[in-house]
Amino acid sequence: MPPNEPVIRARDLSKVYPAAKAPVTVFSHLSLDVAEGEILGVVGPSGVGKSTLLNILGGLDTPTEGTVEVLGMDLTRLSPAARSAFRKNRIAYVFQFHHLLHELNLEENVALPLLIRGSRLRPSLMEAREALASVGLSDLGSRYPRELSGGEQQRGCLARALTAQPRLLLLDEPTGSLDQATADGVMNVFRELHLKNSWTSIIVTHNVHVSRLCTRILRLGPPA
Amino acid sequence: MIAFLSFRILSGLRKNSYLLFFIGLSFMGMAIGTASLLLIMAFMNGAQDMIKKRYAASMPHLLVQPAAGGTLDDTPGTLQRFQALQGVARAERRLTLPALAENWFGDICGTDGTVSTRIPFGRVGDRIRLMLPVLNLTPIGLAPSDLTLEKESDGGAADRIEIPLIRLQQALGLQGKVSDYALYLTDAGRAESLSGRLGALLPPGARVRTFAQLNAPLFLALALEKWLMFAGVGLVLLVSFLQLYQSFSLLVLHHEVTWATLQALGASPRALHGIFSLVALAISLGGGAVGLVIALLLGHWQNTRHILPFPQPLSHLGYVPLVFDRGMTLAVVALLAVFSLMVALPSARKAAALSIPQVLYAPE
Repeated sequence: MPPNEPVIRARDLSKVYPAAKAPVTVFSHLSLDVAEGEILGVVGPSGVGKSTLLNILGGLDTPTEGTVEVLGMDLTRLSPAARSAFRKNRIAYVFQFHHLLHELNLEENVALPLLIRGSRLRPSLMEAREALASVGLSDLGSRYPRELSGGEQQRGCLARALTAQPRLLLLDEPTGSLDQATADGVMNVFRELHLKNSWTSIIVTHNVHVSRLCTRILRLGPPA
Repeated sequence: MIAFLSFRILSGLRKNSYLLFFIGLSFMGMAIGTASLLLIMAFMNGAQDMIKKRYAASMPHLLVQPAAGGTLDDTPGTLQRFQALQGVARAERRLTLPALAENWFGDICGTDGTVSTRIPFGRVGDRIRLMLPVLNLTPIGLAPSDLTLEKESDGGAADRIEIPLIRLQQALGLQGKVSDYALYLTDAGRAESLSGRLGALLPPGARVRTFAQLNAPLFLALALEKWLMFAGVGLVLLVSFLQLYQSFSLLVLHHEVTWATLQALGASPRALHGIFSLVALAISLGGGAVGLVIALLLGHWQNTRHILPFPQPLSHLGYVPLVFDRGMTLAVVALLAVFSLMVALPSARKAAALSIPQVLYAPE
């Protein structure tokens, strides 16, 4: 990717879902650039396609029309397997409902991005311990997700993102299921990690406190 | 990663009693199917060995016959040369031809070793008239030969009259002719190698046939019977794999978030296939290993304690030994592995086809 190129360049994005009566247009002709190191907040009322946009930018979904270039790669031209490979090496997610695998303990969950890349178990777990220490969960590595509080689970997700060493971090309502005090704690950890690791981040949020962390806000409204 | 996750998903099944029940059924099916398959195959092996040994004990292991049918000239010294071969326990000349008596049809066989006329029916002292397929020229034209014999002793096979060779040759005017030379070996298993060494000793127009060649149709029928049983009992395993397929469909549904999260983190469809394949292999080979242990234990008890004896009127042998062989066990393991991979593939495809956003994101 040439220097000063945006990390994300989306052009004329539209997303239309087929429906029984008439197709539902979530958004249309949406274009945006996201520069390296930015924290872009995506806000707007429910149903305007904030999460859908995040999924498209992260390669989890495809637009009905338009193109998405992430780190110079046009995701709309990639096969599902190639998009998986792209995600594996460059993108990390923090989901609203954390989605830590309940079969694995926290340490193993945090090591998962490394294991998926083919790293060996023992060194991956060592890296996971370091990541957990960075988010203040070094004592909870052996616990299973169901044994953790919501805030701990979300910090665990941040630790998982940290081990992935992504260029792009996508967060979908990361504090949506947390009380304000816990949410503030999680976002403080996020801010520290973002600065330390030079991530480019996009946060979908309803939370005003969270949106204050963002360097830019993209407001989505209902389609005209 | 694949092995680690497969192990964790398997161990995580303990906490899902619903899935555990179905996968447990599949596991039991694999164990029972494998044990049944191995036991049936071992029984068939044992029974076939028994039949072959019986045949080997009562039949010649090598037969020197005329290549084009008819009889051979019994040249002096031929029999002695056969007898002198290493590994040959006994050799004899035989003259055999079909014979018909009232209410009886079989062979009449003249051999060197026979000292009296043994007829399987009638009483000692009876005179039996046989019709033979040897044509004689009579004043009214060609007519089949007939031969009248006096029964001197009982015994022998039910379909065979035994008589000293010289007496039969004289009766039929076939002096110096034999239909074959029968060679009995110290080890029937060496028939093949010995037949190769016989070439230079064969009389003109003769060929040699081994015990296995002579009984090829029977042995082929026995082998077919064995593999048909394998296919039949293998259906138990097939049903278990159908059960496993159903369980895997539930595994895809119950662990949707796991599959979607793994894919969101970059796991490829191939990696998911690897996980499903390993889980399937672990269940089927685990069940197979239990089945193998059960089969070996039962086989050991049968062979040492004869837990399933033969009904006495059926055989003088007390039981059929169970004979396990490595090829058969490997065939069962291969079957389990192939079925596992076949079951894993569609389930992995289903998991890979899940819509990640739909699974991971609550609708806005």
